[in-house]
Amino acid sequence: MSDKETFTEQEQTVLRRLAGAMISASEDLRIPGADDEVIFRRLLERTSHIVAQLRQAMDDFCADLGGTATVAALGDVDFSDVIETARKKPHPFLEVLTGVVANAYYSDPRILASLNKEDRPPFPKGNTLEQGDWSLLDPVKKRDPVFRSC
Amino acid sequence: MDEVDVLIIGAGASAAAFAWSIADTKMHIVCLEQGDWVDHQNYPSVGKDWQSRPDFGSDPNVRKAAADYPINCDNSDIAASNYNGVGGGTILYAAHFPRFHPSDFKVGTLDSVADDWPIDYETLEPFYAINDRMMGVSGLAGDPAYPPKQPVMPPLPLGKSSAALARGYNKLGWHWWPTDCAINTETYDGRDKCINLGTCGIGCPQGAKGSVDVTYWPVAVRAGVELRTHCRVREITVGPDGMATGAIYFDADGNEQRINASMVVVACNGIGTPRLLLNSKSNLFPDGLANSSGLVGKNLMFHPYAGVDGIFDEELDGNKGPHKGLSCHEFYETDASRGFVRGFSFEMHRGYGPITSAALGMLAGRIPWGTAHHEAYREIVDRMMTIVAVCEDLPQVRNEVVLDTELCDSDGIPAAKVNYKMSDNSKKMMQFALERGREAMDAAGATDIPREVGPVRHAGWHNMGTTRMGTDPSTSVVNEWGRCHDVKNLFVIDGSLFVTGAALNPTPTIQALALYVASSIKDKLADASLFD
Repeated sequence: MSDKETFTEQEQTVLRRLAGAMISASEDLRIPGADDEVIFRRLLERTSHIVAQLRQAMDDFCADLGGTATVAALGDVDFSDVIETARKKPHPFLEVLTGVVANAYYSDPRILASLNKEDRPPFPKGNTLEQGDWSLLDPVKKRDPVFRSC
Repeated sequence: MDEVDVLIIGAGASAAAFAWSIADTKMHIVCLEQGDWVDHQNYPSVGKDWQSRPDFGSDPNVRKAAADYPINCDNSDIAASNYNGVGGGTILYAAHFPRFHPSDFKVGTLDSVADDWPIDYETLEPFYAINDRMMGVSGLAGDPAYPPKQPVMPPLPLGKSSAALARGYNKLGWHWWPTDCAINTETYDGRDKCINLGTCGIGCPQGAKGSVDVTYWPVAVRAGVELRTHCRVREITVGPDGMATGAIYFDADGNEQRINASMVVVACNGIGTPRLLLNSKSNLFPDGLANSSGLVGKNLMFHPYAGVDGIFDEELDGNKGPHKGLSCHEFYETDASRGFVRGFSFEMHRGYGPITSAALGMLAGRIPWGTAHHEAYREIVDRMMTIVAVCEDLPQVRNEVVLDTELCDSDGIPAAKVNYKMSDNSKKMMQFALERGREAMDAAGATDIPREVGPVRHAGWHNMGTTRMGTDPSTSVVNEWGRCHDVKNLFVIDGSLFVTGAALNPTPTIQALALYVASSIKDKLADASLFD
């Protein structure tokens, strides 16, 4: 496959490191971070239609970091400064990445199980919604009309 | 030669209602729709990846389906949203189904801004009632924000989210009422009741949501209306006498076809309709069809949206129910002391699924990076809802739909471009609405308000006003019963007709208006005055 359709190894390294920094593993909850192999593979699958846009955004992010930062260079060096910068300073690339990381992570059956949520589509089982206390309407029913008659 | 009595262009909310009504004339009626019927088994909520389906997003410039055409929104504060297929916007809408207020038709008289409509609430009322029955509206009679009306089915359950917000509104002494929705709360008209999939905005495989592909269209088709899909109209044709003669369109194979019609009815929404008319130039109409007033495409109105998220200690509904629950019309009518004219309504968004909860929390800075993510996330998931302000947008000639000079659709038809700026009135209104939204969230018991946003950019679902109706041909495009002033057998039936936009979802009013136009046409057919 050409680079236009999939992320390079270096790009994947950067994406995976950022994902893991965004959502880290939890020993207490016994759940992986977003850099987990299965979760990251899901992230790559679900971004396959926006590789070019995400690549451009990632390049812009690296350029804004300044210095000699490039995607290729970030893959090989100590990432902690990059993560600190990313935590503090919003960037369009990070906004998009937040969405795709959340998507891949919170689709994972292990994560859903930790939340006591069923790993299933909404249809056909649906959900239950309680009726609620309709007496809450009583004060509103006593009001005069709030529309202007014409 | 393809010759019909009535040609309808577009198969969305207004076209479906119109087709159903006009079918009883037994005329030969054809509807051309550039998209297709939706396969309900392909809706996202039948799969585990339901939160990851870009093919059911509302932005045509991102979705880029075969039926989509580009809409250049680079010069617009609000980005257009739509769905191109049988059902139109009702495929993706949340089915929030409020009528306009009586005052919405008299803005000029009451508030000395904009203009009055050439019709009033009383004229549309019987058509609202017909539409409620056809679409299947659930709600509760007795709302003090409206003249008396009777929903067809009981209201949706309040759920935890609505109840929390209701307690807040009661504390403030504000109006609220369970929202009218085109969602079945019991089996109705052969469609099952809602089972709370929580995915109204990406289609309802249950069929409980009233989209017109399951309400009006099946009945209209059984009554003899022919609905041709994958047929994209390039232009409406006119004869030397200035009457519409039909249309040229591209069929499913991409071949150019011509259809002749005695009457042409345009139902392509507030962006698609002016686009088609502007693309239908001729010697008689060099500035676009029916555009002697110069107003085709002008006076575009959106509903600027604003939102206030609230996080609660108590568990709410999350995404386990229809998106909508309550409406608040406390600030609907004009109060000049607020510093702006007209007003807004408050909707609510019930809650969010696991993915959206995470994304919203992280983007708002409420959920930090690292291991602290998990505790913060668990404080939010199923504990967040949003108050949404729907602001009335006054018509301004500078806000417009024009033809893009570079972009085309896949058939080479010039795309639409939107030039739109929010008015100072809308900005002041929005600021006031955000403050009231915050006040309501506090009163409801929210412990944190992580995000306030306005205007929401990707909220251009309601596009109105671009072929406005009126009695004066110099200040309107269409007359008081939907016929174009310039072309006496050309009709518009969608939200383009609107003179003002109100502060409520337009679909019920669009459909009531379409039914009214159909009724008017039938009356004038009966006395042979239709083309006078």
